[in-house]
Amino acid sequence: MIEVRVFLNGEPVQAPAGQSVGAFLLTAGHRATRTTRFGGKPRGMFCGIGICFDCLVTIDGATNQRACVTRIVEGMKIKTQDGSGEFE
Amino acid sequence: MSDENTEQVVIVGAGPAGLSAARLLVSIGARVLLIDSGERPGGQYWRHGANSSLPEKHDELRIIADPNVEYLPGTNVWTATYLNGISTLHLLIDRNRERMVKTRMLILATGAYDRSLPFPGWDTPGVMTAGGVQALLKGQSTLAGKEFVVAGTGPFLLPVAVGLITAGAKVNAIVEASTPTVWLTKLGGLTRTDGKIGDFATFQKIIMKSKVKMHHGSAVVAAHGADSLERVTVAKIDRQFKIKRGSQKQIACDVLAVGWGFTPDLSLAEALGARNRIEPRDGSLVVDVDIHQATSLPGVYAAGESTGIGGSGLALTEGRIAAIALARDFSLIDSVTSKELMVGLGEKRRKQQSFANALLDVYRVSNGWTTWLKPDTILCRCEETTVGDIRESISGLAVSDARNAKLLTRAGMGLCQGRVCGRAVSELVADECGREVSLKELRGGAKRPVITPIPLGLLAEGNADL
Repeated sequence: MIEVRVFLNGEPVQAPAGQSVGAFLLTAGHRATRTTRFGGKPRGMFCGIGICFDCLVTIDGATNQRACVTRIVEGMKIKTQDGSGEFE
Repeated sequence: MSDENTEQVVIVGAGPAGLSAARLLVSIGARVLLIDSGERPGGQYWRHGANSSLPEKHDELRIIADPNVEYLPGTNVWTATYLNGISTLHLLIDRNRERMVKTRMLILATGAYDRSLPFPGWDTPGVMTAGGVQALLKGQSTLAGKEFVVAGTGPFLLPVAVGLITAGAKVNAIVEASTPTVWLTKLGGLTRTDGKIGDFATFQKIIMKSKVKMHHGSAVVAAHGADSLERVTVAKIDRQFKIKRGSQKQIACDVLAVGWGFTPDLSLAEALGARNRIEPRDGSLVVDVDIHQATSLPGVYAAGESTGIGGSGLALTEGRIAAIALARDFSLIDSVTSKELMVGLGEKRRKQQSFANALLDVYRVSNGWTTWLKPDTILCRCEETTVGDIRESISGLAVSDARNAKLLTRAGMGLCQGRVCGRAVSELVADECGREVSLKELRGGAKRPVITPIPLGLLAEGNADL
């Protein structure tokens, strides 16, 4: 797989192009991708196929994107989320 | 962009059922638009990575390259309507483009996803569906963790465990709710179908050799870990799924792959208004089809798991039957040709169906799972609604059905729109009220006017036909 540069919580890192953001985050040690809106509890990938909306992250400024069905592309800005996250 | 060519056949879903329908239609010279949410064809059964040799094994997977097939991967139908014989599908392509398609000839092959049962700690990171763990492994060549427990019920647990073992992961236990005694009584009379029993034996052999401990008549009834999964509680359960006293023990793992069979995906069928029914064998909501796989809406057919859980072999047969029936109904072929093409298919479907039905009987989920719950157990993951919230709405606010429970507690109102918890909420409410789940409740949980989220900006600049 071709490695590209992406930004994970602002830090430049290498990631395999075309891999799912969810798989990349797991490999990078982020079992949780966000905290919940009310309880502030950690949440990570659950269904892995785009059904459950648990593995939410902020991608290029857009909040609540499903990590499991989003593919890594060059320059992508990935942010783990607190609650609903902040739209940029 | 809008597509007014109502004369092309549209198939939604590129798993075994959709691909098999496409293959048949192409063979008789029809043009097909094949829409799929996945990045690669195959659906959940034939999920594969970029470098997999799977397409060489299944002719169906190569149909996407045929010049008469327009294949749209990474595409969701975000909403749909049906009027006067015409289905209008609004597509969201790669989450950034919209397109509208109208057709008189539609085949729904929307498949299924893992059925989940709520239990204490199931919201802990590291608890995943069996299908999710499998998707990561097959589609992304990624192991979800280091030490696994595979749990739930159904024939799907074995290939998941075998996949993990083969990939070098440590599987600490396989926990299956059913027992060998049940298999012997219910599966004894069945003959071999499509080599399915053979697969089963191969999986069993690999598991025996790996010395992974198999717990039968047991379930994972709680998951533990502060920030991520550290261990699970395994307990013996009776036929009603109630925990046998004193049988609980803890097993360490950082990933729990848990699946309780599958939930047919009815979002699109519901949006179009196709009639559905409760399948008595597993209690799930399925699209109601006749022997030609035709739904209650003229011109709309359905095949595969959305018409009842039955496996990839049955899905292939149903896809073919749906395609032949559609081709005959719209005079793409004459009745002689359609009869010739149908030869043997009805009988094949009947055999595969009876095998599938036997499996559903063996791997039955009983409603005693509600006794595993604690007041603070999360029921709706999206809205963080607890079991206590639901029980309070029943005792304090006189809620007596799933719809009112949803309105008062928000259970099922989050981003997943009840896909994960809908049935569990209905079952818990029915259980607390001392009755069975109704068709109305299950339908209410499957109705989603907006099937998948769409950026508002796209809608604003999009076509005026909405």
